[in-house]
Order: sequence, then C-alpha cells, then structure tokens
Amino acid sequence: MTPKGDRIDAKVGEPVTFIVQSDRAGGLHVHSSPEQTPEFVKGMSILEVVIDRPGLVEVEEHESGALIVQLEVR
Amino acid sequence: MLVPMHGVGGAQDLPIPASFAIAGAGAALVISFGVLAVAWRQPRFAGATAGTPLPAALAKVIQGRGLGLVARLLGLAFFAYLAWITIWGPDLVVNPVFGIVYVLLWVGLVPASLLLGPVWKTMSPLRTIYAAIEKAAGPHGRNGLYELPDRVGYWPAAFGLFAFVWLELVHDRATYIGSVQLFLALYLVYVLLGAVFFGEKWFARADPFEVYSTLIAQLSPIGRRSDGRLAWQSPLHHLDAFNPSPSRVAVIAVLLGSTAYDSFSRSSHWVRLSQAVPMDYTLLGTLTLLAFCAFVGVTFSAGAMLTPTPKGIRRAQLPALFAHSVVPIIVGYVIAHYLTLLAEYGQQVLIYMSDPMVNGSNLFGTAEWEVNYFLSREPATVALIKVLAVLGGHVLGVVAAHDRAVRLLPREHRISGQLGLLVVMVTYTVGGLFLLFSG
Repeated sequence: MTPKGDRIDAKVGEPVTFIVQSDRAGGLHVHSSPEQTPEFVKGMSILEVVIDRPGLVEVEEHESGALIVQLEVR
Repeated sequence: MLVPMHGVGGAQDLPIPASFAIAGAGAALVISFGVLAVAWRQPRFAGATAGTPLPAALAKVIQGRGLGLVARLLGLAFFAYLAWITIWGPDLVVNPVFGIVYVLLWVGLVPASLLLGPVWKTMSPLRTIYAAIEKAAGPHGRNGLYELPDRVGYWPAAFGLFAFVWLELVHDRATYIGSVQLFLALYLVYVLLGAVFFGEKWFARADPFEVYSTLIAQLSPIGRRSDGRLAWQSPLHHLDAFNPSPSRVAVIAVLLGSTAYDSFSRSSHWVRLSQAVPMDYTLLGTLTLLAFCAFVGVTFSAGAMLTPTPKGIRRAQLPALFAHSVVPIIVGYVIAHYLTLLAEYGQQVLIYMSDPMVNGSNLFGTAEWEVNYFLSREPATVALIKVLAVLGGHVLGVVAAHDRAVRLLPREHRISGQLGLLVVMVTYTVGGLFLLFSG
C-alpha cells in the first residue's frame, strides 16, 4: 500500500481529495474529531474529506490499520 | 457504514512553530545558566520545616474521618463502575473504559494530584478492599506475612508503570476491551496479592497510579511538616521533602521517558524509522520505549554523579538525592503533551460515560453534551501554553536542583558540580521542544 504515512498540508474547511486504487472494497479511517470513515470500492474511487478544525489528522486504511497519510490541517 | 471501533482521541495537536521552539530552547539555556550565576549560595528550601500551619479547623477536616470516608466511597463507586463497563461493556470505541483509563485516570491524575495532593492514595479502592481483608483476617493478618525489604524500594511501581505505558503506547490492541480487561485484572492481582504478602506498605511502593500520584503531589500546596502538622507550602519547599530512593530514579525515568516516547511515536520520524527497520512493529516499539526510559535514567544518573562527592555521601546516592528535581519537568511535559487530549477528549469520555452499554441511557446527564473544541481552534495559544509549560517545569527543576546542590556539594564545587545535571536538564527541555516542533 502506498503512500506510507506521508505528511500532507491541508486547509481547514477545504476538501482533501483521495483518489484510491484498490483491489478490494474497503474504507479509510480519518482520525479527525469526530472521526470519519469514507468508503472505497474495488477499482478506482474518489473520496473527499473535509476537516473543520486545525490539527494533525492521521488517515489509515480501516481494515489493516495501516497509516496512509498524516494531514497537517491549518 | 463502517464504524470506527477502536482508538482514543481523534485529531492531534499541530506541531508548534519553529520560532516558538527556538525561543523556548534559548530561554531554557539563558535561564539555566542565569540561575547558576546569580542565585543564592545558601540552601533555602526546607520541606520538613517550612510553611504556615493550616488553620486547625481546616486541618481537622482534611485529616478527619468524614472526608476520608467520602473519598473511599467515591473510590469504590469508581471501581464498581469501571468493573461493570470493563466486564460487560461492548468492545467499541464508545465504551468509556478506554478514555477513563488512558485519559481521565492516567492524565487527570496529574492535575488532581497537583491541586489536591495524593488523591489516589486517599481514594484507592484497592486500599479499601485490603482494609476489609485485613479486618476479616483478624489481628494475625495485619501488616502482611513478610517484611518488605528496603532495597525493593519503588521498583515494583517502576515495573507497573512501565507495563502500563507499554500497553498504552506500544501494544497495537491497547484500545480493545480484551487488553484492558487483562491489564486491570493483572493490576488488581499484583497490587492486592502483594499487599497480602507485604502489608499496607506495598501500595505506596507498587501501585503505579498511587506512586505516580504521590510523586506529583510533591508539588501540591499542602505538605506535612516534620512536626506532623499540615502546612501551606510553596511547591519548591514541598518538593524538597521528597523521600529519596534510588528506585525513584527508575520511576521518573519511566514517566519522563514514556511521555517523550509518546510524542516521538506520533511523529514522522517514527513513521520513517518503523518503515526503515525490518523488525516486528511491537518489538521495535518496545525496544524504543525502553531506550527512551533508559536514556533518561542513565543521563540523569550520570549528570547527578558528575561532581566531586561531598563528605559522608557516596557517589551512587547522588541521583536519588536529586531525583525530585525531575518532577516539575515531568509535569511540564505532561501538560505540553496531553492538555488538549484531557480537555477535549476528556469531554467525549464524560459523554460516553452516561451510556456505557450503548442502550440510550443517560446515567450522569451528560449523554446529550457536545464536545467543545475550544483548544484545537486556537493552535497558536496551545503552542504557547506548551512552550511555557515545558519552560516552567524546566525552571522549577533547575532551581530545585540548584538548592539541593548548594546544600549537599562541597563549598568549592557548589557551582561547577551542578554543570553535569544542568546540561542534562537542558537536553530534556530542548529535546522535548524539538519533539513538539517536529511532531
């Protein structure tokens, strides 16, 4: 799975777009407060996440718990 | 829909700005050597004799049976609630047991002990249960079966604290109910069985929560003087009365080392390290946590011993005699790392607590609350508080160590003898700021 924990800058209230290419259906686990769990399908999916407060937000693959990116939201 | 099942806390704090970290590190350096250059040459802190005695009425209330009873009943109620949700609660993120153990208890213990003194000792449900066992056993069951050897010291607590931080920070299933059940069961057996063997003394030496709370309480406003009276004491006087024991160096090493590890293990450094090292994730985490704690223990001991030895004191005793000076540094680290977690996720835990079985109940009337993210919205303020907390802890630590040095060290080495420890403390502070900045 890639990326593996890259740091990405994001802005409060502006959508972050994930383009997911996967060989199975699943979901992301966005550790914002409260948490968000957008789902992807087998093949390509486009997911949007909005973080509404500043903070460091980890995004993991739901099932494996593997870290994908850390969003530095300002 | 996928539901998040596990995990404590959501978003983490942003890294502090570089300018804050640099200014903080500079201030730490200047203040440290400033204290050394201009501060007093005669010891000023005397924990055992300092302070104004409390008014008799207030002292009577604090030491009275009524308040003690209320504290014990609160402790028992807490124990019963925790047992209920641990045994029968769902294995879901909304089960408040995780937040209670990792946030309200573990982090909340610090402000509670700072303000109120040794709260866990006063409330400890395990002490209450033991008192009942002792009573049932009659006069022969008193004070345990064996004398606890002095050399055991606080090692049992250092071990218990390490086990707890390992569960919280390393174990990948820390927020699964099975892990918490197992930990709490082992904790119960460890502390109660030890007390049956070694008597009441075991609690003060082995219960990790009590030892942590009592350590932090050394900075609380009320202390007991050597004449037995309760007195208002400034934190530095109170801290001076710290009971030195070599094993307490291990306790502070675990507490400070694990807090630093917590910060490190959420950073991008850790992400890179764990991907570069082909080793089992849990094993790598365990070794890194051990290394952080060992680093504190070794550097602190070396710094304290790097001085000509005063008459009548062996070099090996020095780390214990200076260990109290790390307590404010621990408090500063804890505030810097866990303030947002306690203030914001703590609200979430109170909300979950009203409906632990997830059946729509509202036990404490908090179920309808909404979390107020008043700190996350102000990252600059949070960053400032963090730097000030780390710096404040550093200053108190340096001052406490200075006072001890002018009391203990031979006259001609009172200043130069402090350099080793000072360098170590600056290292902790600059390192802590670096972790906050580069997180």
